[in-house]
Amino acid sequence: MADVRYLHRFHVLRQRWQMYTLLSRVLAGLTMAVVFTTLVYMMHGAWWWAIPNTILCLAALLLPAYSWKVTEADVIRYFNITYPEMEESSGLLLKPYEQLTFLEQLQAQKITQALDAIPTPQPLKKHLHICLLAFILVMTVSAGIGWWVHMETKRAVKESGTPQKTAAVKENILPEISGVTISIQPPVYTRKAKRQQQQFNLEAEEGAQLLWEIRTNKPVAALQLVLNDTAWITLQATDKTHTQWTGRAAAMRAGFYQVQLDGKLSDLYKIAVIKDQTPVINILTPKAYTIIDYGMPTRIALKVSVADDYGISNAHIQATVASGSGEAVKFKEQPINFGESFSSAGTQYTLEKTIDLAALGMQPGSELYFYIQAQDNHRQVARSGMYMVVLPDTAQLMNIEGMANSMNLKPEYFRSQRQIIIETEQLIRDKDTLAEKTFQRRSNDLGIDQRLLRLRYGKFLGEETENNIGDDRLEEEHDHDHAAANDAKDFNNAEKIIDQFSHKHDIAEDATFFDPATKSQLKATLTEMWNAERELRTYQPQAALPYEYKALRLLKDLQQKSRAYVAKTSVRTPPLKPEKRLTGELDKIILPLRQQQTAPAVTDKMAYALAILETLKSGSHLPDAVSLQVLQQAARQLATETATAPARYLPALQAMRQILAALEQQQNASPAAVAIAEQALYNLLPLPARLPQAGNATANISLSQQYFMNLQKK
Amino acid sequence: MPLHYIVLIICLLLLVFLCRKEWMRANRKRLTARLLASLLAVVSLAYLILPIGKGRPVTPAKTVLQPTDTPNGIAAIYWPRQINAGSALQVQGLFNNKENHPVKLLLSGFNERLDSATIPAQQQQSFIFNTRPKHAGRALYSLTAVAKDTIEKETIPLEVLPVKPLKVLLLAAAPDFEHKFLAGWLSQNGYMVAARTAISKNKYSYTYLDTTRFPLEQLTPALLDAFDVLVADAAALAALNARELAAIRTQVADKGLGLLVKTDSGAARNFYNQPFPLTALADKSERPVTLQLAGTNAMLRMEAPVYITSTPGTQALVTDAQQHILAGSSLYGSGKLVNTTLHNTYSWLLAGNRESYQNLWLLLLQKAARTRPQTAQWFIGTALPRVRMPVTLRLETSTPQPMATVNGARLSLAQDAVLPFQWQGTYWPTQAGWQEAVAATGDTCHWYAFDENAWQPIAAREQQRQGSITATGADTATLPKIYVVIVLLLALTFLWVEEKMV
Repeated sequence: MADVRYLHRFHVLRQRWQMYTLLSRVLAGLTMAVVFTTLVYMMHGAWWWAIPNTILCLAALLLPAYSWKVTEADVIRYFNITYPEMEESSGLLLKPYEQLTFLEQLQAQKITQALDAIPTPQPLKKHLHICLLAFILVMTVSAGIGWWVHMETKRAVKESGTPQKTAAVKENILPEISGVTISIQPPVYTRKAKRQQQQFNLEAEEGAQLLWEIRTNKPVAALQLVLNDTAWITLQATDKTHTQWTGRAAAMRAGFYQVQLDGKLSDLYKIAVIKDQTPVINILTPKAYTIIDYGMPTRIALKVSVADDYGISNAHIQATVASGSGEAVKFKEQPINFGESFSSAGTQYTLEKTIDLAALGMQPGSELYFYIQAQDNHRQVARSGMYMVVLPDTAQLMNIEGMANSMNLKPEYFRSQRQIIIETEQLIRDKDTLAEKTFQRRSNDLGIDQRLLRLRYGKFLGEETENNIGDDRLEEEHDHDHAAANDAKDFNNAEKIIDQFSHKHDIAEDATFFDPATKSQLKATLTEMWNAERELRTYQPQAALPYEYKALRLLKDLQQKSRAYVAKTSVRTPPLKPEKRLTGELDKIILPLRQQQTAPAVTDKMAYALAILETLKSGSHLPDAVSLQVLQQAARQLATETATAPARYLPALQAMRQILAALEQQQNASPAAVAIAEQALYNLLPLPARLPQAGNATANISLSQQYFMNLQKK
Repeated sequence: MPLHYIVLIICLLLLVFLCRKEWMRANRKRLTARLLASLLAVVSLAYLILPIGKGRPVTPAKTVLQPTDTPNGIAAIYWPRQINAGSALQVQGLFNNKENHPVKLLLSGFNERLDSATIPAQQQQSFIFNTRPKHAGRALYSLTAVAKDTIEKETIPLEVLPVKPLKVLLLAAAPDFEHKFLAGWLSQNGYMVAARTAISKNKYSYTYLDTTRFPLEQLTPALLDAFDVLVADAAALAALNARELAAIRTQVADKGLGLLVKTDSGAARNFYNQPFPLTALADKSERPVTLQLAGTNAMLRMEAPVYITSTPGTQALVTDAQQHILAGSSLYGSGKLVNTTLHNTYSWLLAGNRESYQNLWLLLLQKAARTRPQTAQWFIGTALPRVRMPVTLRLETSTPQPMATVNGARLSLAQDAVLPFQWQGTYWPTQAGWQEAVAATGDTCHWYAFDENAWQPIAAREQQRQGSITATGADTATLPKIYVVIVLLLALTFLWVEEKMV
C-alpha cells in the first residue's frame, strides 16, 4: 500500500527531526554551560563549576515537557506550511485509506503524486549548523579567556610574591649602526681558537685580543669606544664611505664600554674577563706528617693529582732533607722529577712517585720536607702545602739524659720499655746461636714483660688488673676468699660486709689522674704495647720491634709534655738623669693639642639618592638641581662599582643613566629603570651605624615653664 | 533629589510599562514567567545602578553590637612613621587568615625582600618585621600578603630623619683609653667633640674633633651652652673649682645640659652623684659580667665591679644578670644626670664588638642629651589617614597665633581649651601620597595619606567597632555585581527568546 510507504517516510522524517532538535538543544545547553563556567572561572578561578553548570543547562533545555519531542502532527504541519503543493492535506496520508471519504481519497491520491516529487526535506539542519558553530565559537573564546585569566593570575602571583629581580638589559644599539662583528683572539696559553660574535656584550679570556668591526648605515665622521668612562679607543674607517670601522684592544680587566658615534653615546655593554686559574694540587698520599718507625721500610709512595683550567706545563717535587740536631742541622735541597712528560699539556694529571729515603741520604733522626710545585701554560706557579716525613732517631730515645733531669714523672716505666727493646734487639742478634726452644721461651718472657708493663700503665687509666695467664711471677692479688682480719670494730660495718661479697673491677678514681689528652696518648701507647706483646708471644721479635719503638716514642713525648721552654731576653732602660728627678718643675711642659676633622662618608649621599629615586616613583614632580647633583654623584659611585663587577651592576648603571638623561630633558623617569637603580643602590649601601640622638621638645611653652618653676620652689 | 529616588522611580515606571506590555499581549502563554523575568530584569538593573550596601546611612537607634566577625587580611598594624637614621624599622601587626592555605606576608622595599612571615591556615597570628632602613628621607615600603594570589598589598610609608650630631664635652682627670675611644668613636660619626684631659697639676691636654679651637681652660656658662652633653669622670669634676662647678650645676638644672659621670666608689658626694649611692663588692677579682642593655646582652670582663644602689627617682639603665645597676639616670632640674660605674667598655672595641659598644653609649648619651628645642611639632591624630576622609592634625607650638598650611592650603586651627599650646585642625586630603604640613614658622612635616582601598580589613573592622552593624540588614555583604549581570542577562534572554517561541 502506498500509504504505508508514506507513513514510513513521515516516520523517518519525524525521527530525524527529533534527533536534530535534540542535538541542537544539547549543543545550545553546552554552549550556555561553557559561557557560565567561563564567567565563574573569571570570578573565582575554579573549573569544577563546569559539571553542575552543564547538568543545570541541559536539564533546563531538555526536561521541560520534552520540548525536543517531535510528533507526527508536527511533521504534517511542517509539510503543510513548507510545501504549497501539499495543499494543506498532508494529514490525510496518515489516516488509513479506507476510512477516508471519497473526496479525501481523491485528494490523497493527488498529493501522493505531489509528495513523490518533493525531495526528503532537511528541517532544522540550518539550526543545527548554527548551534554547532556557536558552540565551537564559544568554546574557542572561553578557552582563550581561561588561558588569559590563568596567565594573568600567574603573573600577578609572581609580581606580588617576588619583587622583580633585576632584569637583564636588552642590548640596544645605536640606530646608525647596522652591525658589529667582534673577533676575540684568546691568548696562546688557552689553546683556544679565534671566535667571532655579533653582540656588543662580550666575555673574553684575560689577555685576549679584541677586534671590533662596526658597520654603519650612513657615513660617520668619528667612531670611538669609551672604556669604563675613562679610556677612549678611536676606531679607524676602512672604506672611503666611512661606513666600515675597526679598532682593537686587549681584554686586561673587566668593566664596561660604550660606543660613541659622532658624540652620541650608546648603551653600556659589559666586558667580562675570564681569569686564568692557578693549578690545583692535591696530595693523596702520604699524610701531611708521617713518621716511619724503626724497622719499617724507608720509602714513601707519593700520589698527587694536579689540575688546571687550560693546561699544566710542568710539575715537580721540591724536597729538603734536614739532618743533624741542635746547631749542627744541615739542609739539603733537591728537586725530584715525576718522570712524566708534560709536553701534551693536559689539564689533569695523576702523578705517582716512590721516594727512597735512603737514596736521599736520610739517616735516623733526619727529616724530609717536601712540597709539589706545578706550573701552568700561563706560567702561573702553584705550590702545595709543606709535607713532612720523619725518621726518628732511636738512639735519642735510649738517651737517659732527659730522665736524669729534675722532672721525672715515671722513670721506671720508661726504663722498662727501653729495656725490653734492648733485650729484643739482643734476642734478634742471638737468634742464630740459640736453640729454638730457648729462643721461643725468651721471646715469650719478653712478651710477658711487655704485658706487665702494659698492665702497670693500664692502672693509670683505671683499667682492671687481670690475671696473668702463664705467668706465675705475678702474684695473685685478686683472690676471692677475702680472708680479711676479723676485727671486732668492724662488726657492724656495712661497707666491709659489702666488700666481702662484691667484686670490684675498674677503679673509678684511678681514671681521673690525667687530662683527656694525656689519657688518649697513654691509650695509644697501650695499643702499641699490645701489638708488641702479640708479636713477641708469637716468637716474632723482629716484627715486635717497630711497635716497641713507637710505644717508647709515645712515652717519651708524654714525658716531654710537662716541660716548657722560655727564651732568655734582655731589657735596656735609658739612663736616668738624677739632676732632673723629683724637682716638680712643670714650666717646660707644653700643653698638647690635637685637632682633627673627619670627612663625611660617601655613603651619606647614596642614602639621599635612594630617597630621591623613591620620590621619582610617584612621578608627581621633577627633582631640583641639588637632588639631580646627588643622583649624578650616586651614578658616578655606581660606575666605579660597575668597573669591578660589571655583570652585577651594569643594568643598574644603565638604568641610572637613563633616569638622569630623562630628568635632564625634564621628563619623568621610567618606573622600571628607577626600580633597578634603587635595588642596586640599596645593595651597595652599608648598614647605617646606630648613633645617639637628642629627643625633641617644643620650646618656650609657658605652661610647662611655670609648672617647672613651681616645682623648683618647693 | 538624591540619585536613589530618581533611579527607583524610573525603574518602577519601567517595570509597570513592561508588565503592562506583557499583560496586554494576545498570547497569554507563560505569562507568569514573563512577568517574573521582567521583574527580575528591572530589579537587577536597579541594583546595578544603585550603590546598595555602601555608605548607606544607618540610624543609630537600630544599632546593635554583634560579635564582630574579623575580616580576612591584616587586622591590625603599627609602625613608627618617622625613625632616626640608623635605628631599626619594626612593623608589628595581626593577620587574620581565614583561608584554607597558609598565607605568606612579605615586607619589601627598593625591589628587595626585607622580611617575611607565614601565617598558617585558619589562624589569627601576630607578626613582627624588622629591618634597618639604609636610605635617608622618605620612602614607601610595601607589605604584601600572598597565598595563591595576592590577597592584600599595602604601602608602608616611612621617613628616615637624618642624624643630628650631638656636641659632646669630655673632661678627664687623667688620660685613659675610655675617653680616647669614646672621642674617636663619636668623631668618626661626625659628632663634635672637645676634650680636656688633665695630665699634671694645672696642665691639660686639649682635643678638638670636628670643631674649631676655642678656649677650654675655664668652664663658663657660655661655653657649656654650646654643648649637649658633658661627659666627665668623678675625679675631674671633683678637681674643678667652685665657680666652674656652679656653672655646670646651673646649666644642668636650668638649661637642660646632660651630665654623664663616670663615677667610682672613692668619689666625693656632690650634686652630680647624690642620687646614686654606690656599693663595692669585697671580692676584687676579675670576672665576666653579662650586661643587659636595651634588650641585648653583652659580656664584659670587669675587676671589682661597683654597683649603684637603687633609690627613688632614679632609673636603672644598665644592669647585670643579678639586677645590680651599673648605670642609672635621674632628673636634675630640667636636665638629666647619668652615672655609670663602667670604665673599661673600650675593650669591646678592641675585641671588635662594635655592636655592644654602640648599644651602651647610644643608651647613655641619648638618655643624657639635652632635648632639642623645636618651635613647632606636628602630630597626626588619625592612625591611617585616607584620601577624601577627614584627618585630625595637631600642632604644638608656643606661637600665640600659629598659621599653618597643608599642601599649600590654609589649615584653620582651633586652640585647645585646657592646653593653650595645642592647636587642632581637620584636613581632607584630596590626593593619596605624601602630604606637607607647614607651620608658619618653618619646618615641614611630611605625612602620608593612603588610598581609599588601602587597609580594607582594618577599615572594615573599624566600621564594625563603631557599631555600624544593624540587626535588620546584612547590608555589608554586597552581592558581587557579576551575578546581578548574569540574572539580568538571563531575564532579558528569556524575554527575547520567549517571543520567538511558538
